Amino acid sequence: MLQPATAACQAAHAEATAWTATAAAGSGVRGEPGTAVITLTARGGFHVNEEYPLSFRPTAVPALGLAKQRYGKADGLVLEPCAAGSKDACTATLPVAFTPTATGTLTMAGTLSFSVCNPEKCLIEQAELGVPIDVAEPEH
Amino acid sequence: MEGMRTLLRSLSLAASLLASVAAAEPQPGTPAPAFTLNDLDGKAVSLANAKGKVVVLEWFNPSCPFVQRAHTKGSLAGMAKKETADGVVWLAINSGAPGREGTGVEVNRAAQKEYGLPHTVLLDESGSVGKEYGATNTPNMFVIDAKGTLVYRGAIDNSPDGEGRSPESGTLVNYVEQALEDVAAGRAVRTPSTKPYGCSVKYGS
Repeated sequence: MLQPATAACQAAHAEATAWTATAAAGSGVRGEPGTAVITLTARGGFHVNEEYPLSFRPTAVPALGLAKQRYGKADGLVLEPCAAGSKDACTATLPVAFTPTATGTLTMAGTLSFSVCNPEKCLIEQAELGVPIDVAEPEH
Repeated sequence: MEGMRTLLRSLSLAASLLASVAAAEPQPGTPAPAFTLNDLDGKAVSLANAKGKVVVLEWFNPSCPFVQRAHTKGSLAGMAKKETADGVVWLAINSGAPGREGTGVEVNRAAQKEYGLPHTVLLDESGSVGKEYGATNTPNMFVIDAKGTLVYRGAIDNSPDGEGRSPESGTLVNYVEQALEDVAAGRAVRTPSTKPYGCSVKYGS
């Protein structure tokens, strides 16, 4: 006979599904600027904690030509509401600019630090992200 | 024209009402509201017991990750121990309603031990003291001078990650430490009010 889920189990499940974080990038061209996009989505009744200084700290990859060691609110962070008219944001997107200096498949990886909250609790989390970027020679 | 005058009178009245609601929360420069709360042993503790001393009130929730970080890596780590050694009275207040996150004697007692807090935690389960002070977050800090006047209300510091790693101006400022320095020096508090950050206070309603 199945046992009912305990409150602790339910709480743990709620936390495990409170957010997703992804990194996406198209292809790149050596010497030309490109942009990768980090996306945080809060789910299950949680919303992005806008007070928390969301940041992405990339792993150093010299050939990728990343402009900064830390990307945050001042770098074009965009928040989207959970629903029309909602004061809470459920999606945060952060552009990460790069200018590759080499060709081939480069990996942009790093750590996203953020916080999501629901009426009962806040979580402060980190997500390790990585996305491959195929860099080609510029066309002449 | 008469309609316009009526509209303006209505708007003026509405503005006054809003101002009076906002002013219900004690502002720096006004007397700090009196209160009596029980500590974790059930003993009554009154703000009046600290008459003639500088007091720090810290709104507390041991399960809030901002409080946890502040006490382990951030601006609150070891701070109460240092300040109480200098004669400051430090009171932590938990205004969470029974059953909500971070409430109950045992979880607060465990946090008191884990963080090495030299002071007690007072339980405000009805939330009445928290609401009277207008406490909105954990941590939310208040500094009261020896005359009983509120001189600071707001955040512990300017780094809303709770760890001191992301100061908004680039330089970490511990607003409570700064206020205590100003009070000790007999000068006006440089930054009397800031917006607190952290988890919401878990009031019952």
